[in-house]
Amino acid sequence: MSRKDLVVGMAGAGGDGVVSAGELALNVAAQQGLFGMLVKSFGPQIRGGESSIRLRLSSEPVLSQGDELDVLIAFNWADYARFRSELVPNAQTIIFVDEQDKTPEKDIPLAEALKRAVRRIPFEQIAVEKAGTALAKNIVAVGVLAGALNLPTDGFVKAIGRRFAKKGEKVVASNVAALAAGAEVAAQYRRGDVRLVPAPSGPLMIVAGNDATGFGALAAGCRFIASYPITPQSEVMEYLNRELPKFGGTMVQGEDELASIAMAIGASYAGVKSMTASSGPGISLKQEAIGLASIAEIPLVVLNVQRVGPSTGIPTKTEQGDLLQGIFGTHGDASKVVVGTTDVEDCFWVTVDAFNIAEEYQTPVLVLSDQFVGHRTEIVRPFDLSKLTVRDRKKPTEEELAAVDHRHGFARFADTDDGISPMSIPGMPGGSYLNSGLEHDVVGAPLSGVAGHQKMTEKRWQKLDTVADRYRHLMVVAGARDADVGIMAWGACKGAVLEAVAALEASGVKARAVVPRLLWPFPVADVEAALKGLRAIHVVELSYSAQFHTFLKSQLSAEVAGRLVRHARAGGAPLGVNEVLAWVGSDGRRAAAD
Amino acid sequence: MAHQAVARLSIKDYKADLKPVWCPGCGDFGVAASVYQALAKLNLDPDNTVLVSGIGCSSRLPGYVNTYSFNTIHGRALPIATGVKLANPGLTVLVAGGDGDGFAIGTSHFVHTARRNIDITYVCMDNGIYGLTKGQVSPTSPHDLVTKTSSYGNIEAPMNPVLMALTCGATFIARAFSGDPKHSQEIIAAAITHRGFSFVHMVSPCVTYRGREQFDIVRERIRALAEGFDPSNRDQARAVAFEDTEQVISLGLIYREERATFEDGHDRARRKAQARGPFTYDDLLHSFIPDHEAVAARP
Repeated sequence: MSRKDLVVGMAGAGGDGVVSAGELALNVAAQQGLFGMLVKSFGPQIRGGESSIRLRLSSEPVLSQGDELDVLIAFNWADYARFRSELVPNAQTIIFVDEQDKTPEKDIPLAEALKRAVRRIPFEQIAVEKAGTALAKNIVAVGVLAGALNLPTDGFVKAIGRRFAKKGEKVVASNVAALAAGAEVAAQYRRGDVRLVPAPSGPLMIVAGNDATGFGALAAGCRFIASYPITPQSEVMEYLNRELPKFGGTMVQGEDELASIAMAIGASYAGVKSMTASSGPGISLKQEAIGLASIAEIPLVVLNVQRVGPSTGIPTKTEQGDLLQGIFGTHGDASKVVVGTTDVEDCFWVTVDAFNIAEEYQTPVLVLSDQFVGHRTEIVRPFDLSKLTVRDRKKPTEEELAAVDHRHGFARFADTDDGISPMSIPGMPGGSYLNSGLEHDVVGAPLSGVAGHQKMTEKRWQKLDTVADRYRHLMVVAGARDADVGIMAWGACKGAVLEAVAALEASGVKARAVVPRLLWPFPVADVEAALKGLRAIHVVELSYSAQFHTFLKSQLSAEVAGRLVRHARAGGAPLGVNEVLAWVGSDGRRAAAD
Repeated sequence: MAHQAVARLSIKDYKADLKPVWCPGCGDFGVAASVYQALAKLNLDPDNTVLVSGIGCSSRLPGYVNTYSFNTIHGRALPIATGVKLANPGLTVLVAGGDGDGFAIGTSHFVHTARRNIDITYVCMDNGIYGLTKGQVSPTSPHDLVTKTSSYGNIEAPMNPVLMALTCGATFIARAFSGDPKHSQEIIAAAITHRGFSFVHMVSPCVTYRGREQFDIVRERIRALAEGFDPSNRDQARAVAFEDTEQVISLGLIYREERATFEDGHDRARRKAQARGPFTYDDLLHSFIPDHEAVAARP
């Protein structure tokens, strides 16, 4: 049977060039019209240290990181051992290790049955012979991949030509020789069952999730970001630091998380679309100010690229543990909107939606991304910018402002049919008013009575009643209409869930995936409609305490909630397709372990 | 300060009709009066002026001034004002607050706002006590002061806001006394006119929790800066900053220098970024496509 995709794992020490080998392969694949996903993983060292990649290439758009490895390359077993739980080979995997590795067989970090299948390749020796430097061993490794997987080498030869062009013809030639030697030595292990057919769809783009988020913000009209560096968010502020000034915008690296969100609130209050971005520890610090944006009705986007928590947790690994904080965080009954990104392209479009919602509803919008989506790189079709819609906040007209009674100021929080009051911007003649984190009346004057607080709270909540209807495209429903097995997830678990649904269908089980991107206000009616007819609804997530399951039970009717089956684990690694299938069972009817 | 051309305005044009929550005799009434006078003196357009505050007695001020006013959260007035100014550098941006807001919960923002030299004016009303929460010790409370949270006398040394402003790089540093509204309004007007971060240390007694005699105590200590004092001289400013305010409270312009503002820096960055422009969203899209001809063609 011919495979449409392949998965490669590679691990090595700092300086082995594992990541650049992966990037080179991704680059060549994109130019040849293949789709792909590159997931990098690093040790805790600030610079250097062991690193690994998982690269999946396919004739079709890639949904997940892929479970089964076709090829595993370890430059040495000691560094590989750090990633053994992320790069697990099986009996079909072609396993290569550098001949120079002297690990005794008993210490090789592989299952006993696989140890005998290991192929020893002189990566470093070939690199030195052909290119005159051990640094070229990642080029040899790329050659080995091409040889073992029957990939045409011409694309790699061109890429090497571009990459080493500045170093002269000799360096180019020697690296091409290293590539060819790697391909030749691996040819004997060639797998004939893998055949990647390029998509005839024109140029493809290579984009990392965090860059897509930054691009989405900019395209949505964001012209101000203030943020504080934190893993795994920093790439977003770095992208906007580089790109925003080209479009007249401003990026500030705040002195801390508190200042960063405060600056973004100030900039939005003064009329500029604004955001702040962080991860768990920083988002915890921003909670008080999120409440200010809510009560002061200031459009604001707050990005949370989730990582393992609590506290410092595991900064470079993914988890879905911030869902309930996102929805219910900050003190008081704070109205807000929460959306989740499910893949790299979503980072762009969901961020655009987040800005549109923030502007239109004059509310903070939390975007929950995560390390897996933010840090991975995908080959995707170029985003169709002709579909870009940008919305702006409602502002008072000149006539409305001219009619303002200036003894009381502009009625910034005026009672309107839809609860959305026109927002004047400093500099607008006649629009001055008092805004406040204190509960306030229509002109912003502080109030402390029950009736007034009830009325203003209702205004801030009820204005969001139309979000679910107006942003219905934020729902992902895939699979059979007549399915009786459902799988629900949110965020980056979508990819594994969609593949699991396809696998179930391939084995004759009709299944359906339901993945809401709009998480708050929760689109109850749409979700319940999507869950109609399902006898078991498996809720899968990377949260030890099963936050999504808990949340769904609180939102769905008792009848629907009674069909939910809970499958949850702590984060640390992305959800795998096999994991979902094991949870759900071969007939899709398995009950939760608890 | 932005150029503003509006009809001649008077004090009442800046006075909002909200009734202050301050105690009778509070020093902050004098500050409010000075702010109205300073705004009228400069004839600032209320619709082009933003007054931001955090939390505390003094942070109620924006409610009483007819500008775009924003009473925010504890300690964050300076970064919120920074966002406002960067979003629209044409606005005149003022910040009002107190010693707890500025020198306890918001201290780090003071350090960095001063360092950046953003063109905003910060009037910090220092009463050496937490008044809104009814009488706890503050970071500027004198040593040994007995309060509800320093029952046996304040065991901490007080902070020195003027010295801190000097150390952090504020380009306009002055001290005024709310009991002297005429001098205060001159200082506030000069602070607003200064291009860069202006800090006004406003001694504003709390009659409720520090005692009615506070005004007299301050009056005994205040003195004008010596004849010939040169505010451009950092050493002279340092000498004033090191004075013990339990003995002597010098009033006036203590330090002033001209330095590029934060907004200038962002303007410069934008000009550099745009040198090869103009840019479109398609340019950004193409930058993700390996060897896209449109990207390669750009010099």
